[in-house]
Amino acid sequence: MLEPQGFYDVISAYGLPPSIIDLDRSAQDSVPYHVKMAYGFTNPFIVDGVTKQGGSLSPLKCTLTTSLCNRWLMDLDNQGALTIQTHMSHAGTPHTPTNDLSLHISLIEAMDDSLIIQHSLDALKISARYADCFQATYGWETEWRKSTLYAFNTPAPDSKHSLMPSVDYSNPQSEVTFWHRIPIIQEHITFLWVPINQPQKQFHFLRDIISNFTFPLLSSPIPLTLLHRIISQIVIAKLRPHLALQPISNANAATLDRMLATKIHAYLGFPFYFNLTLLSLPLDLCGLGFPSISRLNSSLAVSGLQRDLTHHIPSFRKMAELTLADWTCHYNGCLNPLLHSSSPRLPRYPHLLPSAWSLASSTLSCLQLSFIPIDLSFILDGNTFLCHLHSLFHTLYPSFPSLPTRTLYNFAKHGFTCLKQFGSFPPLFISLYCHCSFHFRSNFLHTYITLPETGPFYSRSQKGWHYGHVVRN
Amino acid sequence: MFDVDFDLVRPMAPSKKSKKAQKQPPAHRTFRIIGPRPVEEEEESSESDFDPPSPWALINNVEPQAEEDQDSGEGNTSDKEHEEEISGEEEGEEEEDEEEDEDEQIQVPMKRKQVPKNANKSSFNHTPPLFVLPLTTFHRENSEDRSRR
Repeated sequence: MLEPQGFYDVISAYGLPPSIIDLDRSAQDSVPYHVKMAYGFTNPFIVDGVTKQGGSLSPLKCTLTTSLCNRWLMDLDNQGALTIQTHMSHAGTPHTPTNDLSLHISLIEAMDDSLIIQHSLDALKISARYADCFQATYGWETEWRKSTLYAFNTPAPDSKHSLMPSVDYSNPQSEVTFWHRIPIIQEHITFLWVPINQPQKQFHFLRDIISNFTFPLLSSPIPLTLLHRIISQIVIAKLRPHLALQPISNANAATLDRMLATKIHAYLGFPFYFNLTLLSLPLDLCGLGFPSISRLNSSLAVSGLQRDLTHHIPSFRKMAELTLADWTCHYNGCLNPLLHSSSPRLPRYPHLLPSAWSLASSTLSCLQLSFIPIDLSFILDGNTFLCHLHSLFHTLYPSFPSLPTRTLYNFAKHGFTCLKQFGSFPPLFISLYCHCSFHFRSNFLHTYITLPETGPFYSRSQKGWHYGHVVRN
Repeated sequence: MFDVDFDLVRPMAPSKKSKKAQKQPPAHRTFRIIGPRPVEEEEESSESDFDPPSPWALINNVEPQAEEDQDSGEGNTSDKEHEEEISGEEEGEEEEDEEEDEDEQIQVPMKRKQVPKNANKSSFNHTPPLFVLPLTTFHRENSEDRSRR
C-alpha cells in the first residue's frame, strides 16, 4: 500500500496549499464501508487513511508521489544521466531552434511501470538504490524476481557486475545494501507489457490473442449483430490499447484481419469465403460493418503521432520534436517529411525512425494528408542556420549547382552561422501585404567582416561595387 | 539596405552538367558567390561585363588556410558525413566533382588535406551504452512493516 504520507510530502515539496492535505485526511478519516454481496450489503466497517482503489483520486495521488522520485533522481548530480538531443546539435551544427532542445531523462514512468535509464552501470546502480529507498519509504518494494536489466550498445556485463542494489525494507534509511542477481536482456525493452519498437513481436502477441479467442457456446447460432458486438467488445477492445502503444505493419494488420474473418467464417459455416473488404465495409456501403484492424492500426499510428507532436506534457512534446528534427535534417535533407513528400534520392523511412512514425507517415502519404507546423516564426526571426538553408536548397533543387561547402565553413569560422547575423526580414504585418524580401544589414561589410591582411577585394556601397587592394602593415 | 531576391541567387561554382550554362550567365543575375580569385580571373572579369560579386566573396578570399583548418575540424567531418549518409556514395563523389570543378575554374591548386572518408566516423556514430532497469514493484500489505517504519 502506498503511504498517504508520500502524497502529503508532494504537496509540501511542490508548494501546493496545505489545505489539500487537510481535505484528504478528513476524507479518509473513519470512512464506513459496506460490501455489496449477493444477499445485500454487509454491515459497515471503518477504514482509516486509505484511498479507495479504483477511485479517481487514487491514480492522481500515485502519479504525484512517484513524480517526486523522478525529480529526486533528476536532481542528483549523476554523471551517467541520459540527455537526448538531435544529431545536428551533437555535431555542433544546429539547423533550426529545435536543435537547441535537449531532454534530460532519469526515470520514465507510466501507470505503475517505470524505467531507470543511465549511460553507465555504476550510475544505474546508484539511481536504482535511491529509487528503491524512495519506494520503500512510501510502502513499495521492488520485485527483484521479476526484474531484468536491459543493456544496449555494449557487451552484456558479467553476473558479478550486473548485481543490483536494494535497501533494507524494514529500515530504508539505513546504509545496509542487499544485492540481487537479475537476468540481462539485450534485444528490446518491454514497457507496459509492450515490446518497444518491435512491431513483429507485437504482431505475434496480437496474433495469439485472436488465435485464442473463441465464440461463446450458445444453444442457438449467434446472429451477425451479436457477432459484431462480441468482436468489438472482446477482441478489438483487447487489441486496441496494444496497437495504440505499438502499432504493427500494414501487412501484419491485414493478416490479423484475415484471421478474424476466417474465425467468423468458420463459425457461420458459409460454404464460400466472403470478401474481406465486405466484412469491414460500413453498413451504409452495403458491408457487414465489422471493425477493421488495419484501419484501426493506421488511425492509431496517425493519432499517436499527432498526440506526441502536440502533447500537453513538455517532455513528450520535446521528444517528438527532437525525433522530427532529426528525421527532417539528418535523414530527409532538411525537408519536413510530414509536410512534403520525401525526395526520391533519400531513404524514405530511416531504420532509426520509430516504426510507429513510419507507419503514420505512410498513412498520411496514402491519404494525401500533411501535418502542417503552424509556428514557423523562427524563419522570419532569422533563427534559421545557413547549413539548414543550404541543405534544403540542395534537396529541393538537386540539379542546381549548390553552394560550395567551403563557403559555409568560412562563414562559420567568422561567426556567421545564422540568417539573422546577415540581416532581417521585414515585420510580419508588412510581409503579409507585400513581397517579403530579405534586407541585409546596411553596415554588414564594415562591421562584421574582417578584411584579409593583404589581397584584392570587392566591396559594395550605395553607389555600386568597388574593387580595391588591401595592404596592411 | 540591400534587397536581395533569393530567386535570383546563383552560386558561382558550376557542376559539369551546368558548365555550358555557366559560360553565359543570365542577365538578371544579381548575386554571385565566388571562390579565391586569381589574377587571370580578374582580367577576364574586367574584360567581360562586370558582374558584381557578393560581400560573401570577401569571406571566400579570406585565409585560404581556413579551409584546411575547417577540414580537420569536427564540424566539417560531421557535416560531410551527414551528406554522405543522406545521399550515399554517389552523392559524395558528386560533391567531390563539384569541388574539383570549382578548383578548375578558379585555377588555384588547393592543397587539401587527404581526409579519409571514414575519418572520425566511428567517434561520431559511436552510440554510448545504455542501461535500463525496470522498477517492478509490489505494494507491501503487512501492517507490521508500516508500524516498524
